[in-house]
Amino acid sequence: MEAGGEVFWELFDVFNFWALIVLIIVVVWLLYNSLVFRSKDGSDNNIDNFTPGVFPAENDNLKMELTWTIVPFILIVYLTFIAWGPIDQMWTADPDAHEVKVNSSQWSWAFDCGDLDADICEVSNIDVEGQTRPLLRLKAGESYMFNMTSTDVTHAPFFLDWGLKEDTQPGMYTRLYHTPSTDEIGSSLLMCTEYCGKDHGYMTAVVEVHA
Amino acid sequence: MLKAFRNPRAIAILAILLIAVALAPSAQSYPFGVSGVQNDGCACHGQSPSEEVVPSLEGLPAELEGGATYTLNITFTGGPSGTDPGATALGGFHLWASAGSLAAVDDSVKENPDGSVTHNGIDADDTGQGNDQTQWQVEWTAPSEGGAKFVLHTNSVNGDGTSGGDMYGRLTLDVGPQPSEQASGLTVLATAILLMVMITLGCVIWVFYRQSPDAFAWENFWPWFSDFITSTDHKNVGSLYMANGLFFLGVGGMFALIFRVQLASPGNDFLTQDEYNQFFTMHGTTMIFLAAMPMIAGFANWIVPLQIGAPDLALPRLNALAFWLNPAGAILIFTGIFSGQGADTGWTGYAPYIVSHAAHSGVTLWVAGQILFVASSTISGINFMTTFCTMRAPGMGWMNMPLFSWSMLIATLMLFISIPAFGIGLIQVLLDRTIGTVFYEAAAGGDPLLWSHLFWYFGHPEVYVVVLPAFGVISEVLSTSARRTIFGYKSMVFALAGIGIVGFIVYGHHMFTSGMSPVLRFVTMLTTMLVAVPTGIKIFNWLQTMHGGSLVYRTHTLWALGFLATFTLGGISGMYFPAVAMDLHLHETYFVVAHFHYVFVGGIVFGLYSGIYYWFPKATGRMMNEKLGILHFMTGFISYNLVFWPMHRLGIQGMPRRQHTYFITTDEYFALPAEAADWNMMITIAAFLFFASNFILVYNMISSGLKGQKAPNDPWGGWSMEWMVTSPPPTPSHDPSNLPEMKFAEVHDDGEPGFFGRVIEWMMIPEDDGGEEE
Repeated sequence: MEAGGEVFWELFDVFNFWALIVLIIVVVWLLYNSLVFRSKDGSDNNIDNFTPGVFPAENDNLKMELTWTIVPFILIVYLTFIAWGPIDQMWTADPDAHEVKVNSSQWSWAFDCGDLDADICEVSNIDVEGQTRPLLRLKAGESYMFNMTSTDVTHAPFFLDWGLKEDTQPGMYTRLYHTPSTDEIGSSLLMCTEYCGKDHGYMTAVVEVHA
Repeated sequence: MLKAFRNPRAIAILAILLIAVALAPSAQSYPFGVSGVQNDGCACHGQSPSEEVVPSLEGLPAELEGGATYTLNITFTGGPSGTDPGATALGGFHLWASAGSLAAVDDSVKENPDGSVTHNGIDADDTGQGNDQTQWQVEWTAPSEGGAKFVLHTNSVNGDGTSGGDMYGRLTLDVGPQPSEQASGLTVLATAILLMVMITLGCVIWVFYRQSPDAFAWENFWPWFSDFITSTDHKNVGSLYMANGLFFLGVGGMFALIFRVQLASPGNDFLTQDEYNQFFTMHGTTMIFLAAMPMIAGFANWIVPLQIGAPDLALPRLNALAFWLNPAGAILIFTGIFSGQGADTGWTGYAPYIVSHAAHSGVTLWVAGQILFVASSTISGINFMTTFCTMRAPGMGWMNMPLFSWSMLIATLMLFISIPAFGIGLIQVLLDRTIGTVFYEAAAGGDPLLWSHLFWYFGHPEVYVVVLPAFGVISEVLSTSARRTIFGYKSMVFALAGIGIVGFIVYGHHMFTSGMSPVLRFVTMLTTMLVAVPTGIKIFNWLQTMHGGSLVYRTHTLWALGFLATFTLGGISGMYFPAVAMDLHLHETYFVVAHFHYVFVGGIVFGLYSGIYYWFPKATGRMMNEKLGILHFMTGFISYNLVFWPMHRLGIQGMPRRQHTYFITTDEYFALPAEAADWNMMITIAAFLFFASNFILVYNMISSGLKGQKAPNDPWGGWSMEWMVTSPPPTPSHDPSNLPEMKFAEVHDDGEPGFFGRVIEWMMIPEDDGGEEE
């Protein structure tokens, strides 16, 4: 297993590729300019005749400036475009999804499968470093809708293996849709990722996906 | 400097300090008096323990058996209480145990919520059974391992219903093996802060002494010192801001070191959860409001009037007020932590936690302190905008201002527009916490997202408020060091303004997972992507500035080049967040921590260090030691990257931030890989190195300031107006009767003002045209 869902890794690879290209351009340019155009003997060659109180001669080139306005803009548009599709996929509500209620309070998670089959959704207990924590068992290939709320303050379940999280707020319901794939079979730790007070770091549960 | 060690008095003072440091961590606090549970027991009868009352605690074995239950007999003798069984009151007790659990046997004894036990019989009518006795029985279950400490207080009362003449006694008892004394994180910190205060005071006195070693007299010290701290001169206020900023940079760094020790290995218990939560909260608040903001204000105060050719800021007294609100706010913010109940909300202070009962009481003080920072920023915002609008030197148009001044103008404008939202939120929280309003109480219809909106409407522009001045410093330093005019001055200004405008509509990217409206999430995704464009323009312009130049390598040049590398990395990692699908995984993980430390430290702190090395000769009239400067850069730059680069990896692996510990994958479930523990250990070690490297800067500033080589007016050959005056500058900084006039290297066409120029001229109060008197 690895942290982050499929969508995350697909985007991450593309972003890493472009980040690397930009980084290489900047670093090579930086090293070239700072080494080639250095003062060889450390002496002060006042190239543009700086004099205190005198606004110096201009140094610009409209074509170059436009280049590094427009080219990054095109790259940004491209990155926005490829980041756009997955949102649609993640936020699309599936009307047939199995509803799992998630209730959070300081500092524990409560899952409620309603009247779903035990094969599709089942809650039991598990030991996490000496603490009894809820274990949520889900089935791969089934579509789930997590209907989440909180009884006290803001919390956020972090589904580590799926790369998903969403805050739970008191007085309102937030939703998260996911269909675990067969690649995501196994159990992973669910942590709270919105700071909620003293035992925030120990507010855990385990989510298990079975075939 | 080393000469001081030969002085026996200096050695004696150092020895006393070291003994204080060694002793302080062992000072533990145990319950004192029968106080704290007024209605559940007896308050202290009498001011201090009396030797006449002799409590006794019997029933404890010589050898403890883990988990066994013992019956303890509590009695006392002496004091005003007799043995008359008909008396309404004879005495009371309070027993506290550090481990195990205490339980009442009969209803003459009551269990307190904190685990201690006390006698029953609580009201004036004396309907209880517990306080007309001199002996009680309780049960104690020993802990499964280790021993315990007991603290017993007994009251001996005279039975007339008043506490006059009553006495109490105290008994402390150790049973079984005692844990070795352990330094608590808070005590370590308090000691360190006190030490830093002493070092600072020592530096002040040393500077005073060095001014005229021959005419040194203590009675001159206070006049000199009070003149300095009550001054309204922009240079003195700027120095105060810088001292404030550097001091709290150290304090905030120590917070970080202490919680890095906690995180060095998984499952560590160096800090309790409560302490850990306070530490990261105070680290964030200190670094942003007490270190970054004052350091920037310090630069602005020092440099802006000099750079735009003004004798001082427009409103000097307001300027001093804006500064003095900072230490006042700092004291308020820290008062909470010394009470053991410091703010524990994270620097973002998300509602509804911040108004809930679970949050520490120190949050109220923390909020109050930040309201003072809001006031301070608003006041200095007015001051700087007025200065920029009215006090530029003759001939200096808007588009002739040096880029540092431009960046300060945009930053002040952003701060001035964004910080009222934060102020409103803080006042609402303060009211919620003190007089019971329900702005954030979800059960009463309060909005759980309102605070996040108000906070980030301020919080994101705030990032630009602190990073833009660093951009300004880098523009000045690179241009001067490369001996070239900054490439594309106009596009630099437009890029600054562009960041200033777009920076206001990106804040939603902090709330992609909050349940906020999807439309707003989508819009802020687009605008956040867009911010990369003006930022990119600035980076490429800086790179191109060096082209065809003759780069002179000095310490400030090195920091500026380091800034270019690290800030580019921080900017690039920022591009991963607006892609919502990635943010859902990365939000609230160490990837975020890595990103904003690359921006805040690699961007802002590196920029400001560059500025310190660049303007230090101007401010003090002495050159800094270049060798020490290069050493500082090398150690600082390397250890900094070792601290924050691995955090990217930890974040992608899913290590959440703000957590007291982290979980390694086991057979039962998948979590962090085992290597995460090694990375964390490495980060902690590197953090100590990075912290230590900064002492090179402090030492360099002190030693160079005292005996560095004398600096000429324009040591680096810059063109802006601060290099026209002497080093250090006179007071007033530019002669008001003979202001410098901006000259131009190229033929300069004043031209008619454009549309915006005419609007601004129309808004200005007309110059005194001589005729209009009464």
